Amino acid sequence: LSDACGNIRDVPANQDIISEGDRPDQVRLILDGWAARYKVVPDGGRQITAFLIPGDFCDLHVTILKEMDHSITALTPATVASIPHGELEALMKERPALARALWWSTLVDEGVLRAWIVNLGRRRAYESIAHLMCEMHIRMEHVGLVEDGRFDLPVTQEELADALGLTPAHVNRILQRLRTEGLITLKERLLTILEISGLRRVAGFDPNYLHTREGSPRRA
Amino acid sequence: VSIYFFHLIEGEDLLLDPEGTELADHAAVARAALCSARSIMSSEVSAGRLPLDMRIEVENGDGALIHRLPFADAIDITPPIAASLDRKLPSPHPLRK
Repeated sequence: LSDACGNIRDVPANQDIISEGDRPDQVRLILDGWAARYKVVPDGGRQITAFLIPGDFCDLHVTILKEMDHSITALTPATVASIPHGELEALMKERPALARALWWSTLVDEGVLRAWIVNLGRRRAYESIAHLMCEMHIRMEHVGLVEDGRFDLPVTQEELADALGLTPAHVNRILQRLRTEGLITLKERLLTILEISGLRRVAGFDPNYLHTREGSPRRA
Repeated sequence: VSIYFFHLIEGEDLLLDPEGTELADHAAVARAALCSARSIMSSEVSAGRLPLDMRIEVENGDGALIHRLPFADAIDITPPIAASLDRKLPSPHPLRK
């Protein structure tokens, strides 16, 4: 797959990788950095609907559509590969194992979206932040970006608030509570999970929807 | 656009805003403070508490206090009806046959 990633570009933080209304002519893959899918609501507020980390596709089959119905922005400086859809299709025909891995990644993306809906609909703010941390812990671990329970959470409180339907001050208060309870430390955007079982209990977290034991490579 | 820090004061405790938020003007600051106070109160209410001893104090980038919002000022409170004035519903209840 790396051969097909001919066009690799760096995107500065807070710049759209692709914007609502754009024609998605290529399949994009995050190689480095964090990105977010988002929708802007009429009052100017923003809802982040997904965090994308290295190894994540920005929609595998999006080139079928005429235009983007949402935007994807880089949250940090990011490196993004673009793969022409024809090339990806050819690869999938040639290599059934790769096709299977890509289907698997699409199914996991949908699982994550379901988990986010549950988070927004059925969990209180405190539990939903804990759940998001548990999820990012496993996803970052899966791409080798966790060391001793520590990983980069390179998002502002405002971005966390936009992902969870909260406000930055509310997020700040909940982070403080998670710190006071000895579950995490978060300093300079480096998150350390001190007690994973406690954090999962708070969140009611079950990692089954991330299907990590399938053993399919996220980085193809 | 300037940066503003939304500090939270809860009883004796002060929780500083470490990052700040960029906003256009004072009206946007007031809206954001209102929105935060209501967001925190609503999640506290869903956990069975209403902390009216809290307030938000907003500092600008120079450290000057430019806005202050006690949580009690962020909501309209309808006081409970005193038991002696609580009218008994007619019995049997009109909606029940």
